[in-house]
Amino acid sequence: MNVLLIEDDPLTSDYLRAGLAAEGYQVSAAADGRQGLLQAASSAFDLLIVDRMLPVLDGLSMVTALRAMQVHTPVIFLTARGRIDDRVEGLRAGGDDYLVKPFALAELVARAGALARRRAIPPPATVLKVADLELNRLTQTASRAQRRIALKPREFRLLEYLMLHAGQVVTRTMLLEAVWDFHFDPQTSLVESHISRLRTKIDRDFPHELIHTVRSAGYRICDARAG
Amino acid sequence: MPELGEDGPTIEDASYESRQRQGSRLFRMASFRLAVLGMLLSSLGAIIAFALIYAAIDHTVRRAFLDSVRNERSELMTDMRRNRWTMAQAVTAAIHESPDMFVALNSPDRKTVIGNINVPRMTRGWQKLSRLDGLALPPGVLEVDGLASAVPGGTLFIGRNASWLIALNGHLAYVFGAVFGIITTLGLLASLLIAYSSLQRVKAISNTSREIIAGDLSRRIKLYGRDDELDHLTEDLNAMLARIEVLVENIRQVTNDVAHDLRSPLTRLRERLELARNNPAYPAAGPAFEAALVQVDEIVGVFNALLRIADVEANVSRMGFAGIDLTALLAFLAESYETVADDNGQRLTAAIEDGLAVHGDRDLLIQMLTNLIENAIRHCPPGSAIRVSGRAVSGAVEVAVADDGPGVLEAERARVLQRFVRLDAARHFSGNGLGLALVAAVTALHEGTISLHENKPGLRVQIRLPARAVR
Repeated sequence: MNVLLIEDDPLTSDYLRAGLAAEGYQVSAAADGRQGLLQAASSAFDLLIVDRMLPVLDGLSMVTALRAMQVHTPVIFLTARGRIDDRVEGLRAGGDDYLVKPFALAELVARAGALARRRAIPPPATVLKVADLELNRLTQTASRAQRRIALKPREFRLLEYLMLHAGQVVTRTMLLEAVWDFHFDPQTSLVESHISRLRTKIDRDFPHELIHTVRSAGYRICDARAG
Repeated sequence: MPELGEDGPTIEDASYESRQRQGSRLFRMASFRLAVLGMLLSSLGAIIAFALIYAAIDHTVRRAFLDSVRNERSELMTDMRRNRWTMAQAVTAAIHESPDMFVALNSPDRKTVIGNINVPRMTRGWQKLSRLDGLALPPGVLEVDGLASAVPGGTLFIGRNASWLIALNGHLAYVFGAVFGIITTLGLLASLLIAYSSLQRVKAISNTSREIIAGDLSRRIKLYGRDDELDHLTEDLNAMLARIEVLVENIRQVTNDVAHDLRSPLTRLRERLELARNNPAYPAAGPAFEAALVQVDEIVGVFNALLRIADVEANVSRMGFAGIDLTALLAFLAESYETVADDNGQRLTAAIEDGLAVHGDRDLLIQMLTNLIENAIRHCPPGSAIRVSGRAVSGAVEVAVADDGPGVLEAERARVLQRFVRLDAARHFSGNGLGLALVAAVTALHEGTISLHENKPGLRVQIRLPARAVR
């Protein structure tokens, strides 16, 4: 995957480049908004990672210009500003996701993966499948090995999101945003409790466990046997 | 800061109640009272003036009257001496000559000897006689004023018909009364007009300033153009608004600066720790760095919470507000946290009325309610019961989270809403002491009130927000 990283701080830039490269991404870098705009407009990238505070041309204006030029490459904003309105501002300018510094590398990698997948893979089908687990988005039902599983609304939504990103790491923050629309960090084990319930319902009585915890990163649903 | 209520329901928010009292406001206005006071003083002045005029006229007329009666008496005496009449003859002659005079001569034993008026009890000096004194007066004569003096042969009374004097006094009083009535009525009308126009201007200033505070701080109140005291007040208010705008902007700047200044070193710290943790050269050190990362994230959490509170408190703009279905929101949160409570060995129930709606920021309200529920979950032991409720009360929506846990002592209830206050009983629980401070800030931003109550046992946190009509 081709990624363009536009970040003016050299230390952060090196750190992110190294981290993304370790995950298999091809990373190019620019150090100011103008350079970034030129590179993003001229080459085809799968993902742009843009710091908001950039010299010459700030990140927000850069992305606005890109969108005006009909460049629809997915954009993740990085910023040291975590104000309430900043996120909305970023999304309105054409960003697809927004990360506030400091963040864990795993968080960036997970979101980059989710955006890349969203772009590459066609719109999700009505029925999602992982091994013998099936989820029907229209009827809002789930079953494993043909056995109906009763799920509460939040549990269903959680499973749906995991399965939409099957095989990829999904972070706690991504789940909070997608399933609960929370844009803050709760002080209780909201996500963990629901994952635990989900596991009880879809993994416990079955031979193979599908929901995996990825240490220091998040969760992933996949058929471990399939490699 | 939102108000803190006593035990029991209290409605502290005055803004939407006072609007209902607009009607009686007119009579409670300072300008109306002052105008009425002015009118009363003028009326008092008028009364005094009228009284003085009345007294002066009365005095002058009566003086002239007295002089005329004295003249008559002199003439009578002169005639008597000239013609060598007796007193009785003189009296008869006087009556013939001046038929409009009332003359009487009384003998020493108080009996009328001769005259055209019978005065039974005649005393010396000036007197006013009317029917009330038992006199038989001709029709049309209401009062006779005259002089009684001692003469050889008895007491002589000479008087004139004073009816016209009474009529004059009556007319004067009538006219004065009418004028007074007009003055009072005009004064009252003027007072109402003054109060009304003053109220309109004051309301305009008040409404505009409220809109500005709620929305755009760069707007200013318009001047009336008269350069009067209200215009001066408006100029002062505009100066204050300019200062507030600067202060709020300063706060934004400071929080932005703090964000930038602290985030950079924290970001670098985190990056280095992550790199160190991932470094394959020292696998054994991995867990230590992991633990350090957890601490850094905790610092960042406190830092984010502080900035969020400062942001909410400084954010006087409510332009991002929209209609929120609070019933759905509460139900959604209760359902989600039922799971968490269950894992904690606690029981979470909900009692939420239909159709609850408020005007507000969805994200902030979610965070506020979540803080309340999580507080209850975190501070209550296993086996506790937690109840989330929502209901409508006269123009407001009341949301409450109640538990039967350890509760909060009455003396501490005001403190817990402040930043970083952790009660001794709660020190070993997780949390940064900022949760309730954010709840308080969001409540204030939504023009609501928050109060903590004894739940017998446990704690009940109650928030009232102005309701929005459900479409």
